[in-house]
Amino acid sequence: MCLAIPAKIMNIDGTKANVDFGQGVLREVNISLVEAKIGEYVLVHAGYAITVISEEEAKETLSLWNSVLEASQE
Amino acid sequence: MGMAENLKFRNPEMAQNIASKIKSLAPKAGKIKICHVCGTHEWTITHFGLRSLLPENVEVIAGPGCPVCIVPAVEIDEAVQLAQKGVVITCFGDVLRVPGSKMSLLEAKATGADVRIVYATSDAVEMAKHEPRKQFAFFAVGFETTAPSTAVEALGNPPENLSFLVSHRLIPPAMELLLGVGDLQIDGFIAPGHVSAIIGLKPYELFPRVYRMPTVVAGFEPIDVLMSVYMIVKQHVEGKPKLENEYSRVVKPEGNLRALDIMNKAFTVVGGNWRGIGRLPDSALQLREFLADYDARLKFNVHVEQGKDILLGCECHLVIIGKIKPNQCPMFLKACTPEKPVGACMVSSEGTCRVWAKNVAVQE
Amino acid sequence: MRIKINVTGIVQGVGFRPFVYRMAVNNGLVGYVRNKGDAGVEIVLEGDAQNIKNFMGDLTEKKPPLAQIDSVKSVELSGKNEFTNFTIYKSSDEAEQSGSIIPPDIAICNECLAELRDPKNPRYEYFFITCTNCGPRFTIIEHLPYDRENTTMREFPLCGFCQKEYNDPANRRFHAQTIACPPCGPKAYLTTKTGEPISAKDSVREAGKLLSEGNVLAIKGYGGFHIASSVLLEAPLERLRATKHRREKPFAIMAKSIMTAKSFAEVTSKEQELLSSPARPIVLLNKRGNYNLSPLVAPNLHNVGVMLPYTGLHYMFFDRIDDPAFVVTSANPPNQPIVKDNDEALKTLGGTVDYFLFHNRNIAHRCDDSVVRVHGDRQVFLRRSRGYAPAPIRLKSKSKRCVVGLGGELNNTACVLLDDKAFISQHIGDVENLETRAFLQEATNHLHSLTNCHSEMIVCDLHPKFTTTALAKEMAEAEGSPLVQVQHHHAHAAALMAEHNLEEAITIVCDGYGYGTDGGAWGGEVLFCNRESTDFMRLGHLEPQPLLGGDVASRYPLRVAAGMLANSGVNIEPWLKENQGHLLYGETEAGLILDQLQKGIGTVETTSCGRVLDAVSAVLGVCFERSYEGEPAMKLESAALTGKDVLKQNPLLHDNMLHTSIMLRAIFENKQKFSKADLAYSAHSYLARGLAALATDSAQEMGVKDVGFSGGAACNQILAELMLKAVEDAGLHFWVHEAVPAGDGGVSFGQAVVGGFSKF
Repeated sequence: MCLAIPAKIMNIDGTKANVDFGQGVLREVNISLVEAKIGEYVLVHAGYAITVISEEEAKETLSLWNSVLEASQE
Repeated sequence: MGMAENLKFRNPEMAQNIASKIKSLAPKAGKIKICHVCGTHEWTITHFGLRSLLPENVEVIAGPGCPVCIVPAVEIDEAVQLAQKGVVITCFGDVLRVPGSKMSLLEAKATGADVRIVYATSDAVEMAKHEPRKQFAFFAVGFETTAPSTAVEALGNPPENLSFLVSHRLIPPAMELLLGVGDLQIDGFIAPGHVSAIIGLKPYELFPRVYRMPTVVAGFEPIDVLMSVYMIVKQHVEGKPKLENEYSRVVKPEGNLRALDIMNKAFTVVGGNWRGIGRLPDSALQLREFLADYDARLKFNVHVEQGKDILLGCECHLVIIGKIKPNQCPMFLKACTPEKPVGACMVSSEGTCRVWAKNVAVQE
Repeated sequence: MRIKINVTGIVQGVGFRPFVYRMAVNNGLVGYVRNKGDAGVEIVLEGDAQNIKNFMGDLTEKKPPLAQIDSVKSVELSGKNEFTNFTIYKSSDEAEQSGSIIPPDIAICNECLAELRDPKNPRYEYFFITCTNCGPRFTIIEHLPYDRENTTMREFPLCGFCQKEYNDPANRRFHAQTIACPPCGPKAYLTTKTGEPISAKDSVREAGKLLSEGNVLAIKGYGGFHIASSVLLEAPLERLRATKHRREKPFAIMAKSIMTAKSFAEVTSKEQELLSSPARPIVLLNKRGNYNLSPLVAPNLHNVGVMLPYTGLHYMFFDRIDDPAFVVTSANPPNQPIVKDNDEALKTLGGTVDYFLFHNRNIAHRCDDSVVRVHGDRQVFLRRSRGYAPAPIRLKSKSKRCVVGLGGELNNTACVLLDDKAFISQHIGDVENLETRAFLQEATNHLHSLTNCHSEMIVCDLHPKFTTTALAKEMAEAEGSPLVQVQHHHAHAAALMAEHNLEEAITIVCDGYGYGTDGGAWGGEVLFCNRESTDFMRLGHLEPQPLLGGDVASRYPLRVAAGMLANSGVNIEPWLKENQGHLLYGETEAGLILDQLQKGIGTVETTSCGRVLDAVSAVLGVCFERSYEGEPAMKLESAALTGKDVLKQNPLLHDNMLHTSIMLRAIFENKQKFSKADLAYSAHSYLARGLAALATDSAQEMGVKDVGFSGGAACNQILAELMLKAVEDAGLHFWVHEAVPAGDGGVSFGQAVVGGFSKF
């Protein structure tokens, strides 16, 4: 499934990292596909981080939506 | 970050807001048929009942969004043949029950073949390392979201007793095919969010440019999907088809360059067979020559005859391309159920029929 | 009119007091109801005679679903107008009557399940939701009378909301002792394997996710800890098997729902009824053709033990994942009782698991899960524990005295027999070490205090060296009570007769081993027993066979086969050499065996049916090593299921013995001619028909109408069905167990019955 919760990188060891999905449990993922630092959030798919998500971008989405909705003038 | 943020993307007020905006635009739109190509998008739509929020003339259909469902029977047969030769087949759970021409991997397992489910591709590598005297093959299924992980492992000096049976497919060619299906009459695309996280926006440019098809890359929360529908309807009404990125918090326009690079190193693009669709050029991945030793088909000289993709009475080939809805298949929830699936669409957790069976209470 | 009523039975812990309250108020009566220290209930009523009469009718007709009323004794009192309304009084410690008892643990009821899933309910997603009709009872009640403060719920004082519901007669949870809610009730939490807490907000579902990802978890349930893992992934299962030193013994699984169970197993309507019952036992189900769980779950068997979730917690595990089931096996170090305390769990299980899912409610009495299978439409107990113990078996005749049976050695239980009720303890296990002995003692004492009775006689096995025998002797001496020792197979037969109220019967008793009256190793017996006698007649038995190497032969059935084949004149040397790879010491050992045979040394003789089945299993190559009890015979049964009798041998009966060497020889000589399945079935058929013949011949001679089948081998469906046919064809009545395990879990009950009904 593609539903994903951003996972926070807690520590890195070469191509592997331990991430926290917000439940306090650390899980190991492979980070070969991304450039990420400790503290950053990644999207994980079947054990691999596929992209880094930034908090700003997440915030921006909401303003993007709002502007799209407001822009529709009838 | 995390769940709390995600909850914003499920805000019912926001959803109602968008729904009403769509409703107000709808009369200007005529009939619109929007097609998505991702099992998880169908899940979001059915689970949150999004179709009931849309006006009658705006329809969202599910295209071939399930990478397991479209693996042709012949490739299941290849895996079965390998298993019967004594190669240990590792795969993700969904693949086990997909029907081949004669049998599924599960049935092969029942007759003594060693078929094991793994949770991640790296687990398949660990397993092979753990039992060096056995031959292992990882059945690599999935779209562009999963292909990079196969590439990482294939390029990462895997053990000699491991090989890959590659059945990866690429989504954009399938989307293009749908436009050629006469009686589908698609008016817009919702592009898959995580595939796009990998491939970026470029592969979809041809849809607005050449086909004048509004295309929006969408995330998986209900607001994401509703917003994308709205954006497509708006483009349609304004007569300005373009490529938009609703999922900008995750998808960069260039995609994941590193992942694309790794994929390119490991794979070439070849023509591929899709169950229910047939052959699509440039739609499948194959390991490059220098990795031939890890290509299970070459290593074990696998040869199977073309098999039957669709069993008698099964209408998966129509569901997969969105021609019919699951509840229009006569076997849906009768002869074909999640516990006793007949066709691939009911087997995989991303198959349209299975998603419906698990999320839709009563359908007319 | 004023009367006092004493109700006995299972009337505490079942919502009886709030029920009585409502009935009294509905009938316009005043007075009180209270729990007593003897597990009974006392009611005093004042009011109109007609209303009281109506109340008495309501009492028995409308009683709560889990209540079992044994007796209602009422006596008219003098005086009147003492009460102005009806109240639930504080419980009294007084213990006058005997024979009531608290209920077993009850799985979550449908109402609580609905509330668990209802977002508007205050207990939405509260995994320990319970009510007066469901929840833990036996495992949390420390002593009587049943009140929250006498249970391990005492550490969870009620919050305002729960207190209000508790006090409100119109509320479903009026006077519910186990009432709790998220703020005030027990909490579940995840920790790492070393006990460090993990701050998961949704620990239960996270635990489910961790399981589906391949982790091994220790999970605290009602009666003790379980170890859980995926049923689909090989890696955690391999780890589990390695750390539990358990290569082949099947694991029980918990399926998400009946529907999911049906996707990989066959479920008959009787099996469905058992699976969904308030006891929620493990039910052995036949694997379906498309069984897709890992072969490591139940290796080489045709069936798999499945249970359904029994608390909100277990239901919620499955919420966010796709797994159809998880392995849920009892967490106990080998040969030790199931782990029940948090710190004990950390110490003993920390090395095995990846995470713990704890909860903070103490378990007062440990209790393993029950295991049942279904033959046709009849339930067959393999283990009678959670959900059943300590509810009594009701007999149709009364015992002459109060007796306690301490059982034998393996799969043990204790049994207290009082009047017409036999209270069997939860599963104790193999009483071979200090810990299990202590558990047996504790369980026995607990049974006595719960039922408020005092045994006048102690019964144990005939075996001089059993730990239970030593314990029984100690107890008898300490209490100055008479001690009676009952032969193992006699106990099985007595248990069967008591279940069906038979005064006399001829019983075929088949198992692995029991100490005979001649000190020998018995196990395939035909006994005539009379209910009132401690004696019995050994009418017949299986041909004695050599166990080369004694106990080692039980572990390596090739040895039994070698002895039996040599007995029947077969030159086993080539065959033994061919199979020496299956012996622990290979070639050397093969040589030793041949030597032993020649010299006739190092052997013990046995009439065991179990060993004969083991030998067939070895000869057919089905199983060469017994890594768990019953393994070769169970696998032989699995192999025989698709077979038919191809040998059709006439049973050789001579000297009241059923000869088995010639049967094994026939199997051996026809190995290449017929399939494993057919030969395995033929062996079953020979044994069933032969033993039935021994029994029916004697029955006809003695004018006995009833023939029974007991002992562990009675759990074998093929044997039971074939014997049924043979006995009924002879015009006699065939009996098997239904309420009590046919295996050693029923021995204590049989012992107690012999002690209780015999004329001394």
